[in-house]
Amino acid sequence: MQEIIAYILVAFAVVFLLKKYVFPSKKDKDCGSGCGSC
Amino acid sequence: MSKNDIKVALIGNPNTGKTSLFNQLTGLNQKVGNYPGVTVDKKLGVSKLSSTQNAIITDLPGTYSINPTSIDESIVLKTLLKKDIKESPDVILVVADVENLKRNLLLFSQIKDLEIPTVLAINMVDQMNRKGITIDLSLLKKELNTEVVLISARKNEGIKDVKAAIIRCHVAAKASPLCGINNQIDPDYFTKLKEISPNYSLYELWLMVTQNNYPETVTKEEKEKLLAFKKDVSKLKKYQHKETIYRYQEINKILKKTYIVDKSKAKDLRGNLDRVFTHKIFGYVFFVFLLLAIFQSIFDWATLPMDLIDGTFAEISDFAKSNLPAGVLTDLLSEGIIPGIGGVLIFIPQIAILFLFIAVLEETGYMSRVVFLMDKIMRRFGMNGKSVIPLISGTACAIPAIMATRTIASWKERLITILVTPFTTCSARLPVYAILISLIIPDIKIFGFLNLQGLVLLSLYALGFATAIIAAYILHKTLKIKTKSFFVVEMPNYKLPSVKNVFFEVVEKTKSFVLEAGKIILALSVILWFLASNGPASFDNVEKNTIENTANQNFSEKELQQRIASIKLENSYIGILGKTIEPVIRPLGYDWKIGIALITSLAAREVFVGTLSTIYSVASGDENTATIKQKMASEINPDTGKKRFNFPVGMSLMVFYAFAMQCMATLAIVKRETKTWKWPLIQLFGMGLLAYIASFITYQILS
Amino acid sequence: MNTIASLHKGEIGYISEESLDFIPLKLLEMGCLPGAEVELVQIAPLKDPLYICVNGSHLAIRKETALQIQILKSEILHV
Repeated sequence: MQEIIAYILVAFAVVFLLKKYVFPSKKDKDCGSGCGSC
Repeated sequence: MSKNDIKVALIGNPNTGKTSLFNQLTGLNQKVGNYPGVTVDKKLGVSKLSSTQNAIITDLPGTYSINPTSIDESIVLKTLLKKDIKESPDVILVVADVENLKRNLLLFSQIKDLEIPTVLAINMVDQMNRKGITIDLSLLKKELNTEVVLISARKNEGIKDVKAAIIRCHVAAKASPLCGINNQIDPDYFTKLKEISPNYSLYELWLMVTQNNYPETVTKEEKEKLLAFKKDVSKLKKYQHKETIYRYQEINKILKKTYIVDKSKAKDLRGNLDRVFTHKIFGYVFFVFLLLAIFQSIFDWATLPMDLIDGTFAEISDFAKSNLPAGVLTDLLSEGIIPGIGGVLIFIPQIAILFLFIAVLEETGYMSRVVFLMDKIMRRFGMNGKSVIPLISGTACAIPAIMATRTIASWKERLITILVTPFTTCSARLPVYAILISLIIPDIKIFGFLNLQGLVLLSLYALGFATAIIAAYILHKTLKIKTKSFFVVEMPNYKLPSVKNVFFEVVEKTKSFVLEAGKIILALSVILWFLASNGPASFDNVEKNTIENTANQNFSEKELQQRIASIKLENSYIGILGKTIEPVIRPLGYDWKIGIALITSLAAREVFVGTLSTIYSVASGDENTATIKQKMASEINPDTGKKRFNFPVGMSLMVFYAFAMQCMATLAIVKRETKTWKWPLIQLFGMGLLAYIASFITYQILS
Repeated sequence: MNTIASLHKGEIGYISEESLDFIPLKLLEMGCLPGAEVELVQIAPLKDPLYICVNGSHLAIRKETALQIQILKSEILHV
C-alpha cells in the first residue's frame, strides 16, 4: 500500500514537471497588442 | 461569489494610492490569481458595499493610459474590451490623485468613452489644503457626467461614499462617452469605422484597431474590416496624437471651471529632498549606504528564523521517520517531501525582509530617484535604471527578481536584465559558500580586524555582481535587438509608507514565490528522492551483501546502517549518474560524490550540503553543520591520499556555484517571462560553460 | 533650435507645436503637450536622464528623448 501511494506521488511530480517544462499549456499566447514596443 | 455581486474594475495611474483604496475596500478578503495566458498577477477582493450588496473588485495594474506599453498595462485594455458577461466589469472605479488631476483625467476620459458606468474617486484630498487646491465637486460631477467622490484612502476617509457611489452607478447603469472624442478629428474616417459593428462603441473599435487587440466576440468579417483600417499606420499614429491633445483640451476646459490651484499656498518637500537624494555625490553615497544597511539586516534578521525553520523541519522529518510505520511512503515523506518543503520555506525570511525594504522604498518614492541616478550607468551595460531593483532582489532569489523586470519597457534592456540576474549571489548559494569557506579558508584576521572568511564571502558577492555587469556588457554588444521603446519614469512625491500597503505587498510577493518556485523545488525533491533510493540492482541484495562483507569488522549497529545507506546511494540511479559524469568533472577536481551533489543541486543549490551529508553518511539526528564539516574535512582523495576538500577543490567548487545556472525553478520563470525556450537554454549552457571553464582554470592553477 | 535638453536647471520653456510628431504617444499622454510649460527640475549626476515637470507631471526622461522635443523660451499659446 505504502509503495503504491509513494510511487503515485513520484509520478505526480514527474507529470507536474513535464507539464511545466516540456508541454507548457497552450494558453500562453503572445499578448495581442504591440505591448513592449512604442 | 454570487451572481448578484457587482464586478468592479479598479483603475488608476501609478502612485495614486490605488493599492491603498483596494486594501481599504477589501481588507483581508484578497486573493491573487493569474490572468489566462499572461502571467500578470490578478488581484481580486470582495468588498461589502451594503448589508445586501457585495462587490468583486479587481485591482488592475497601474497605467497612465488605456494604450498599453507593457504586459501589465495590456491587461487593462484586455479586461475592458471583454464582452463576456461573466468577466467584463459592471462598474469601473477610476482612482485619481488630487494633485495631478489633469493627467489622471486623461485615463478617465478614455475609460468614459468605453461607455461603461464609471465612478471617479479623487484620492489624497487631505493634501488639498497644503497644496492650495479647491474643487467644485457638484460642477465637476455635472461636467464629467459621472459619480465623483473625494477620498483619502490612507486615512480611510470617504470609503463609504465610494461604496455608495458604486451601487448608485450600477443601478443607474447609464453611461455616455465624455467627449465623443474621435468624431472631432476626422468625421468621415470615424463614421466609417463606427459602421463596422453596432455591438461596440466607436472608441472600442478605435482601440481594437490601434492596439491590435480583438476580443473573442469580434466576428471574422468585422475583424477583416477593422484590419483594413490598420493599413495606414502613420495616419493611425497621427490620429492617436490628435486624440490625446483633444482630450487634454476638453479636460482643461472642465478643470478651468472646477479646479483651482493657489500655487502661493503650495508647500512641498519634494524640492529639498530631491536636492539631497539626487545629489551627484551625496545621492550615490546615500544609496550605497542604504544597500549595505539592507544586506546587513537581511543577514542579521533572517539568520534566526532560518535556523528555526531548518531545525524544525529536521525534527519533523525525524519524528515522521520514527513514528510512522516503516515503508516506502514514510521514506518519501521524511526524506523527500518534508525536507523539500523545508527547502522552500527556508528562503522565506530573507525574501520577506528584502521585499519589505523594496516595498518601503517604492512606497516612499525613493526608488524612482534610484532609477534616475542609475540609468546612465546601467545603460552603458545595456540595462536600464529600473534594472537596479531586480539586481538587488537577486541577492535573495532570482525568481522574484526576474518577475520584477516587467516594469522595463525596452525589450532588449529587460532581456539582458533577465539573463544576467542569476549571476547575483542568491541566498541558496550561501550555505554552499559557508561550508566550503569554513573548510578551506583559515579563520584568521588580517590587519588585525578583517575576518578572512568574511572577506572571501564578500568577494564572492562582488564576483557575482561583477560577472552580471560584464555579461550584460557582452550581451549589450552582441544582441541585435531593435526596440522602439523609450524611457520615462514618473518621479512621485515623497510620502511616508503605509504599513498596510507594505504588509500586503510583502505577503503577496512572498506567497507568489512559495507557490511558483515551491512547487518546482518540491516536485524535484520527490523525484530526486526516488532516484536516490532506487537503483537498477535490487536494494535488498545490497543490504545483505553489506552486512555479510562487514560481518568481521565489528561495526556498531549505527555505523552499519550508515554504511548501508552510503552504499545504497552509490548503487542508486543517481549514484550511477554521478559516476557517469565523473570523467567530465574530474578535471575540475571533483569525484562522483560531488557529482551527485551537483546533480541534486538542480532542485535548489543549497541541497548540495544536504546531499553531501547523506553521501558521507552522517547519521540523521545530529545533522548539524559541524558534523557535516568534520566528515567533509576527513574525506580522503584515494588518488593522492590527501584531503578531498583541499584549497583547489574548494575554490573550484565555489567558482562553479558562482557561475553555473543550477536552478530549475529560475529556468522555468525565464521561459515564462521570455515566452521561448531559447533564452533559458542559452542561460543554462552559457553559464554552465562559463562555470566549467572558470572552475577548470581555478583548479588547474591552484593544484 | 532649442530642445528640452538645452534648458538649464530650473529654467522654463514651452513645447513647440512642431514637435508634436516627435513626442512619443506615452509622453503626450503623461502631459507633455505642445504649448505646455516645461521646467527642467534636475539633471542626473551623469548629465542624463533629465528630470522635468510638465503639466503637473514630474518625469525623468532620457536625453535622447529630450533632444527630440523642441521648445520655445517664451510662451505663445496655451493648451
